[in-house]
Amino acid sequence: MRVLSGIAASPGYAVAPVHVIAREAPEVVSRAIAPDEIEDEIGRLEAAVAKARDQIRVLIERLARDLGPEESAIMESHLLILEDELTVGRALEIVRGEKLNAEAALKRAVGEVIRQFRDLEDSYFSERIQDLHDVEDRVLRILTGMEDASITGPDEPSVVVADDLAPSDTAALGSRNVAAFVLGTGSRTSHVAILSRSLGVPAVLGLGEGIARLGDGEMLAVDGERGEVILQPDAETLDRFRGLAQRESTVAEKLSHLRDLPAVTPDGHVVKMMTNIELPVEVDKALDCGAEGIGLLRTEYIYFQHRTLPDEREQLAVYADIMDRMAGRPVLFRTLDVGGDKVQRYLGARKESNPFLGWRGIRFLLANRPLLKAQLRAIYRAAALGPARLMFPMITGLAELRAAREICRECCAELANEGVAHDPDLEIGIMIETPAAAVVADRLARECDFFSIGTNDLIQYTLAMDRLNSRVSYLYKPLHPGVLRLMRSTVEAAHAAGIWAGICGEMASETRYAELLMGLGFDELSLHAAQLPKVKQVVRWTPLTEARSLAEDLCACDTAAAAERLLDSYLAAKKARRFTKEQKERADD
Amino acid sequence: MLTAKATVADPVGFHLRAAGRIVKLAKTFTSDVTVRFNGRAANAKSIMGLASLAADHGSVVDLEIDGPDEDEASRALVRLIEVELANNETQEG
Repeated sequence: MRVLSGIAASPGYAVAPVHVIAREAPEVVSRAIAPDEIEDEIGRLEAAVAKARDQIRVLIERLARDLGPEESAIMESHLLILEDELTVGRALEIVRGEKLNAEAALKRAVGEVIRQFRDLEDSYFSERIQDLHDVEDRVLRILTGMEDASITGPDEPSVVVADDLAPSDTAALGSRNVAAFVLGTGSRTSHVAILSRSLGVPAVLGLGEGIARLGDGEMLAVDGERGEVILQPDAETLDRFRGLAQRESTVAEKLSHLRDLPAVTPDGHVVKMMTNIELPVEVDKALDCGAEGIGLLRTEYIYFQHRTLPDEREQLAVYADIMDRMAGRPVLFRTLDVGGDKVQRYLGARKESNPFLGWRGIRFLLANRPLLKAQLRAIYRAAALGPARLMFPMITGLAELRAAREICRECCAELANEGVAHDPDLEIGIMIETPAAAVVADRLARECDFFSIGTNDLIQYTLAMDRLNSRVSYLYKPLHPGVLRLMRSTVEAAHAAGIWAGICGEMASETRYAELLMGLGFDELSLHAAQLPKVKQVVRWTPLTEARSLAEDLCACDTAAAAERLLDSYLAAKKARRFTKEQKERADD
Repeated sequence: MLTAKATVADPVGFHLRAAGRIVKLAKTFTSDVTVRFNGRAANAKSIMGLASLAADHGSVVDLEIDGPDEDEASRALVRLIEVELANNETQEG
């Protein structure tokens, strides 16, 4: 038995045989050809390119259908690369001019382009190089008769193992029989991570190269909670994991009856339960879990997937797809929130020594007006299709809110002028994630329609601790009195001005904090779909009066540690009460 | 042969999306179009070539247009690079 540790990218447990997805690099033999062979080689290359084009088109269709148009954009760029004079065009020239066989000519042409890009030392282009290789390999595989470049999914429930999976691979793979994903590369925000979470299968990523050397059929235990993969699990481990996987599905089943029940406390207080999503494909899972709407649509992924800027039309296509799937339920769009840990070179952001205090969120948006306007126009247009809300990230004060609203007005005026359908009255709100915004929340509340607290950043900024710095991570304390006071005063300021306040940070997804958040008076909780039923259960069991007094007690604690202890004892007492009650009910039956 | 200068209006410069639009437009003309920036030259009909220029927002590129429809091509390309790329909403369709 051996345990490998990676990144816990999607929760859950699985025990299943390995299904390796490995692609052998096509072997290319360089061969000089005779003058009378030239036309044959040209014909071979052109036929292979035509076949590659067909394959890519099929994948584009499948991706657009299964995952939405934003996913297919990557493959669209593969078509452009395939048609480029510097790739295939240049290869044809090499066949003719240097009398080389088609495979060697293509390899040389692509090598020349890559050398050019390498000189640029731009991370954007190193990603582009992967796309180039992907296209090159596809054509080479066809030329060398390695048959279909696409891959096949497992025939029985399996753990899909690969060094890396491109979007085209996951599209070809489908989701049938995938018990878990285990990859050598990737992070929590990579394509496979997001896909896994939306499919509800566990994923452990970033295990390092060589993971794909595992043998097909070998048993593997996957722990998506801790980010561990167990090789050659013994009988006991197998049993334990089967039990865990089984228990999960039982709990999920038990909670599924909650789906259509309202999130209302025993004393009649209603809490709106929403989910955070990034992709249209996640909507189905959200609705399955009983979400009443989308409380946070992170739009970054739509941009990152493209690797180039999606224009207004492309964004509208994605947004419209989401509105459509949500069928009249509210969708909250947060405008692009780049910077910090999400710096993307292609958006003009540069590495900064202090990115969390740098050019990000609203600062970046206001400096990139055309980009912001394209997104706002797409959101305003999507709002014509159903109840949409718009939210700006990283606000520190009124000046930014006013500047952003001014651009909103400009977009509406343009759309009205152009006679394009849009909703000029959509709700406009802001993220409260900086201490400054929380402190001036009373002023901000007069000029917007709602607040949503982003706890991760609010905690980091309030406690002046870098979330990504492991030496200070011990300071990340949601129950720090400073954090609790800011949260409480923000909700109070919202209610005093007659607007609603929600929470969309990680804290909302933890059942542990559900009573506290209710007690602080949040009108809306937006969380991970999978957590929604569990948190709803807490809401349905806890009278608001009880939650309020808990919140008051927690706010009165001197230290975060004292508050955590108080919360522990409250939760333990509640659990005991619940247990006695259930025993009694059983006895009564 | 005509020469022209154009200031890149696209907010992120000549990355693939902008380059793709330039390629599509350039291919509608029979003239040869060369784009020069920072000591490099690229064919305006090649997406990889244009992208490899890495021309940022606000940089000035030189265009060389040579062919029977060079007047029209020059006007259309300059307009695209200087004006239309600033607006992310494409007017093509």
